[in-house]
Amino acid sequence: MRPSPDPVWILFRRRSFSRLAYWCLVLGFDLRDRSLNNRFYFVYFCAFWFAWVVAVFALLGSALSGYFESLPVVSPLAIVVSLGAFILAAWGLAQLWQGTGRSPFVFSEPDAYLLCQAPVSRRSVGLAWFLMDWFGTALLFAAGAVLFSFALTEAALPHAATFWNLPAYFAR
Amino acid sequence: MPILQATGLSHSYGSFQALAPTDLALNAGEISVLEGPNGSGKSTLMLCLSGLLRPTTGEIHVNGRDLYADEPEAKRALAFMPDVPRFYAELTAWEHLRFLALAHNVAEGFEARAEALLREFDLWEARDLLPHHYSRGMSLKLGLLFALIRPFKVLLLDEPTSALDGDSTRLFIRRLSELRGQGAAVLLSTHDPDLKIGLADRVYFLKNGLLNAA
Repeated sequence: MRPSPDPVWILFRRRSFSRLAYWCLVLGFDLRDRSLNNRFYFVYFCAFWFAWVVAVFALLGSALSGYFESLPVVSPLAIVVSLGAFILAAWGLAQLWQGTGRSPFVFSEPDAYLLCQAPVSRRSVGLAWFLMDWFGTALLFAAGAVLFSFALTEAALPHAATFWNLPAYFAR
Repeated sequence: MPILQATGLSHSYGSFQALAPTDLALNAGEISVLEGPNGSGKSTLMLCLSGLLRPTTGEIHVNGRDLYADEPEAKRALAFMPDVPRFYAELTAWEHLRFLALAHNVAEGFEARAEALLREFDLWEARDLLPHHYSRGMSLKLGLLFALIRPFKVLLLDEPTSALDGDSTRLFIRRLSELRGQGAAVLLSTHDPDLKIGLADRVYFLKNGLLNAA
C-alpha cells in the first residue's frame, strides 16, 4: 500500500503553484489553460521573456561595469565580492532585527483554523513555510548575482559588447 | 471524568477582561449549550478552548492532555467549528476534506466517507467548487463536515446554525444527537432557542465575561 501523502506538502505545492500561476498571468501566460494553442504560445512566452531578461540584465550590467571602471585602482571583481558580502551581511542583520520582534513564520487565518488545529508534523510545517517565504528572497538574490555576473563579463570584454559576445555572459 | 477540563480560564484584551476566571468541564455523551448576549465573551471562550487564543490565565486539558504543552495530541481529540469557517483559496471543498483526513491520519476509506457526508449535507454537486463561491449556509455546512470527516472526542461549535435553512438545521440537530450517542462531548454556542430545547443537557450562561450554569 502506498503511504499517504503529507498534507503539509500538498498545501505547499498548491500554494506555490497558485503563486506561480499568478505571476505567469501577470506576465501574460495562463498556466491553467491546457489547450494545444497555449502550449505553442508557451514556447514563444519563454523565448520572449528569456530574451527580455538577458537584454535588461546586459543593459544594467553594462551600466554597472561602467561605474566599476570609473573607480580608481580597485578591480571590478574585488568590488563585486565586497558588495556581495556587504549586502548579505546587511540583509542578515535586518532579518535578525525583524526576528527579535515576531515569529519568522507567518500564518494566515485559514492556516490558523485548519493547519494549526490539525496534528500535522510541526517539522514539515516549519520546513515548508521556510521554503515558501524565502523563495521570493532567493529570487532577488539570484537576480543580483546575475547582474553582478553580467557586469563582470562586460568589464572583462576588451571592446564594446556585441551579439557575438552572448555566450560569454552564460559562461561566467 | 470530563473529556475537556478548563481550570481558572480567563482572557483579557489589554486591560479589558473579556472572560473572568472560569472553570468548565465537558463530559462524554453530553451537549452543553452556551448562551449569552453579543459581546458577552462566548467567542473568546470558544477560541480559548480551541487553542486558537492563548488564555491569560488557566489550563485546559483535552482527553487528559494539556492543550498547550501537548498540543498535537490534545488537538487530535478536539474539533472546532468557528462562526465563520475559514477556507484555503487554493483548495476545493473536496480537497479541503482530503487535506483534513490526511492531517488527522484517517485517509483510509476517505472517498466513501466524504461522499456520504457531502451527499447528506447536500454539497455533493458543489464538491469541486472553491469554497469562496459557497453561500454562507453552504460554508457553515462545509465547516461542520471539516469536523465530521475525522474522529474527535470534543466538538466546539460557535453559532453553527446562524445561516442554515430549516431542513439543514433539523439535519444538524439529528447529527448532534447521534454524536452525543456516540460519546462525544459537545459545547454549542447559540442564540437559537430551538437548539437549546432540542439538544441541551446542560446550559451555561455567559454575561460580561462571567460564566454561570443556568
